[in-house]
Amino acid sequence: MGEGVIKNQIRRLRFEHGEMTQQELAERAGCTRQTIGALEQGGYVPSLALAFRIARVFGVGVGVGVEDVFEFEP
Amino acid sequence: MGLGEMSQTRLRAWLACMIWTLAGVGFMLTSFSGGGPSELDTDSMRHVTGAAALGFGFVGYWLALWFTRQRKGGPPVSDERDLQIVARANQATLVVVLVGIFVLTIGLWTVYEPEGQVPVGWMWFLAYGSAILAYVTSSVTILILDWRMGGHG
Repeated sequence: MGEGVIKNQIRRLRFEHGEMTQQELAERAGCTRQTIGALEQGGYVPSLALAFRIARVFGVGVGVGVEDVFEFEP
Repeated sequence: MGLGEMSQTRLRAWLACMIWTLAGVGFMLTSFSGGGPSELDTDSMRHVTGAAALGFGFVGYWLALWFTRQRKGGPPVSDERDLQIVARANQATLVVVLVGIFVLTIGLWTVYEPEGQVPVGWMWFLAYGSAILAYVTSSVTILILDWRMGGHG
């Protein structure tokens, strides 16, 4: 059985949120800019805690949940 | 990519790789000059030079750690991804060093079995060399894993 793939919409959401930079998102989510870059490239799957922190950055006031940022493809 | 663009883990790995490779080259040149590693213990000059190479590695590495430390109030310089990279690199380093020591000791046993004893100089070579091998392997593995885990974004 395959492990599946976790895709994300971070790049799109950054641009929809005032062209937020990777550095800005990283600082607000409590990680490094390199991790945001790695996530956008699909080279890294975040922990549940980091996924929620990233979703919270995008979700403040506009109702974006973790499932709007990360998507599991079996 | 500039130095400021690198994560703490990648920057430290590059610095460690350069410092320990230099120390390793110095140590190997010292060890294999003169009578080779088997006479390392009897040649005090080469013994001191070998120790100096190892000292250069430790002092240089410590300085690299200090200069790349987390600054107070600054943005995070490492996170869960870095921890994962370092943990996996440590696993790989353990295996490489164990295999390296195994191969060298089996080689020494094979060569010196008829004589019944191994020159002490080889033990010095094994001690210093395994430390240098560990740091070089660790830093190179971190750089490879960092690249493979999307570190070029």
